[in-house]
Amino acid sequence: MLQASPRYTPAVTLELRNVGKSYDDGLSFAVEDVSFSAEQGELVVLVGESGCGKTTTLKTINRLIELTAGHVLIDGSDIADREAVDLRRSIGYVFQGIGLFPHLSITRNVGIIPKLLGWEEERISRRVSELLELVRLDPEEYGSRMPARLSGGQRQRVGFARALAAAPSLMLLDEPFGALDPITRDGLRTEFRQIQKELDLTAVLVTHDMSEALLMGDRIIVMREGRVAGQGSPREILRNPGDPYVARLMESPTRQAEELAAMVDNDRAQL
Amino acid sequence: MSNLANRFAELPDLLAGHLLLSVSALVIGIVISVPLGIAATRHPRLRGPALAFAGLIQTVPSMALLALMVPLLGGLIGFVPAFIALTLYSMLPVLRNTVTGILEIDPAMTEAARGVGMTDRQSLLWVELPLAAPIIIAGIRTATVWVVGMATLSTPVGAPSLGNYIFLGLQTRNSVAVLFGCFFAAALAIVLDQLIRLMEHAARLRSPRLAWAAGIGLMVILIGGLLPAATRLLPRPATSEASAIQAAAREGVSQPSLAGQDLTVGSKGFTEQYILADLLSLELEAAGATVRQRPNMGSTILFDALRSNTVDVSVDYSGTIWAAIMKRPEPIDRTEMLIEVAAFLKDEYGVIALGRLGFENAYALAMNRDRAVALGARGISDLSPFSHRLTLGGDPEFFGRLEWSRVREIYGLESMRTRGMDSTFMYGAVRDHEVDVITAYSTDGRIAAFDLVVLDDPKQAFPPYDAVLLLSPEAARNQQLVGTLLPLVNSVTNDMMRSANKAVDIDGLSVERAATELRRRIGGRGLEGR
Repeated sequence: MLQASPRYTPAVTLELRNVGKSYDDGLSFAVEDVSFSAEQGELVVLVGESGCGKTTTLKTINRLIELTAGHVLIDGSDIADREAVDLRRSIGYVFQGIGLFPHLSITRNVGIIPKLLGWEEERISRRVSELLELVRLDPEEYGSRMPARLSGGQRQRVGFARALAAAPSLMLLDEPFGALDPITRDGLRTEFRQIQKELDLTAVLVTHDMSEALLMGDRIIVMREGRVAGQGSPREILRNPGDPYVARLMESPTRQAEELAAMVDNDRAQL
Repeated sequence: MSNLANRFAELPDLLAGHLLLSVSALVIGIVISVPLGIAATRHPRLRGPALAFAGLIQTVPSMALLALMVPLLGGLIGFVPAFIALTLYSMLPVLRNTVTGILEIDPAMTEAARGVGMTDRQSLLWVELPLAAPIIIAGIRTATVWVVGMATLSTPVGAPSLGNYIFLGLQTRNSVAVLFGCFFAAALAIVLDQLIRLMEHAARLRSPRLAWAAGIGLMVILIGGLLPAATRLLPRPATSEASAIQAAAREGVSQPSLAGQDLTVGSKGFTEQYILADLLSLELEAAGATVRQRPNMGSTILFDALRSNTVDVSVDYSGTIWAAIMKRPEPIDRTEMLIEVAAFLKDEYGVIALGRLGFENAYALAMNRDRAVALGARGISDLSPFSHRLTLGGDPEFFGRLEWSRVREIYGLESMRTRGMDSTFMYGAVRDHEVDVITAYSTDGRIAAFDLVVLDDPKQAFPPYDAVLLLSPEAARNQQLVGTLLPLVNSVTNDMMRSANKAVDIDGLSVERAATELRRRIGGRGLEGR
């Protein structure tokens, strides 16, 4: 699947140090004192209820939102020292609601960042075909279509392809599976995880779905009211939630898993 | 049928004028409004003032906006004031739709544009403008229809357009001309609107074939429409005839000749003025000049054009200049007034009064005969006891003049109600009892035709209105021109003018025919025929 891919820049480490965001000159903070790090090739999941500051935190990483306190470091250097536009072009971003440009064909949507980077047309079109194949869309069939003529799942595949276009070493994903039906969602999760592992991408994913966080994340950051309520690997969090809020969040996926397991056991017993 | 043929003969020039005016106003309007609209979306503080300004322009009645441009530009008439007014008028829909179109884009789209690393400029050009395009184009289409329609109103400021048909037709009760003008103006608006729609369609479907079709359509309209204007701009080759005449002139042969000269005749918007403009044109053309007419101008606009040499020749009336330009309220003796007017015009503006044409077209109060008899009114003073029950119909221009306040005061008509209407319609209105009295023109054929009674003016409240031939400062230095027009002095009697007016207003003769007939009668009175 990946023979034709170009060499990806080696994956990076990401670190957030005491990140804060205030919209009223420090009177109150939408995000306060958030710190976590992602090792090379790791998938970090920010999880929490809506309004907990997870998307705001994500957007400070590519400076869609400028932070008011703390630092974001990529490979040890502060992103505040880089041009915001250059920084964003070097980071893959998958938008909530996908965010494809409705007036551009699939090919042009996927090729947008290479074009911004000034690649030659021929190189862009080779790259676009490669990426569409990577996300299992036939370039011949889909390349010239407009986004409106694709299903939700297909559009999200295009969204991934677009984020990967310029071979980024860091990916940010804002509720990427939110708008999909459960079967498509499940398939895409697996596929994305596969691609992410094979390309050794460092990634930060935002979701409000605790099960999704537990199933996908190498590391989970639970956020509540702008702060980090708990963090660790899925196993650590399940075993030792620490914070009562985190424990409560774990209840529903744990119970579901137990119920499902019981059903499976029952079936086996009847056999 | 000759009526229709005449209209068709004028079509190329008027259509070209109309097209040039509307398309250039639209293009410049768009070139200003779209960037201004974009700037307004970037700088919220600019948004309010920009939209308020464009909205304010829109609330000024279009006719007034056009007329205001003339004094604002120091008396300049013709293309420029009309162009500026139309450009201003075209701005609101384009500006408003640009702002709305961009502001209403889903914020997720602009965030996505930033998120993939677009600069503000790239986001604008690659995402925001394409997404707002349908709304912006809808604004452009609205502006197109407005501007093409409003361009018909540029006739009174001296810019030739399809409105010439409409104004001429309304004044001379020629409904064929009115319909003709309306039809072509509407057709032009529809065609341009549809071509823009086609282009938008082509852009949306990304169809080069459609885009070409729309582009070629637009080109055909523009080139076809503007060709007559373009050929006029080409330099005229010097004719051997002209040099022969010049040679003759050098040898001392005094033959007034205007060969090779371009002259402009201006006129106001009523039948008598159209006929006189045609008469002047016929004389000048007979002497070899190429004549352009600027019909339907308002009194002061025409005078401004004359003193700034935009118009070479016009006919005005001594009492009009006396009251409207010299602002003198009290009338004086007819001959003295002529002398004072001539001296004033020469000293103040360098405008030369070549002489009286011979007839007088005074304002006079006229009534339906039955009504006059019923009230026992023979003179204006007889109206005073009933004045609170009477309505006076007339030209809105008249009610603003000094002589009206004077007449009102002298005869005690303060409580009389006034109703402004186009001078064409007032004769019918008084005949049909819609108004009681009108401010008639004494040379109008309809006074006799409708059996109206002209009320006596024993206190001479109305000033005399001798028709005077006026030359612009530049034209006055043109000896050949003066020589050509001099024979017209004292050549048109009251009776001749009245019957020429009647021929058009009552008998439905074309202005051209009436002018030719008048010229024939002048020749018959001893003016040497040429």
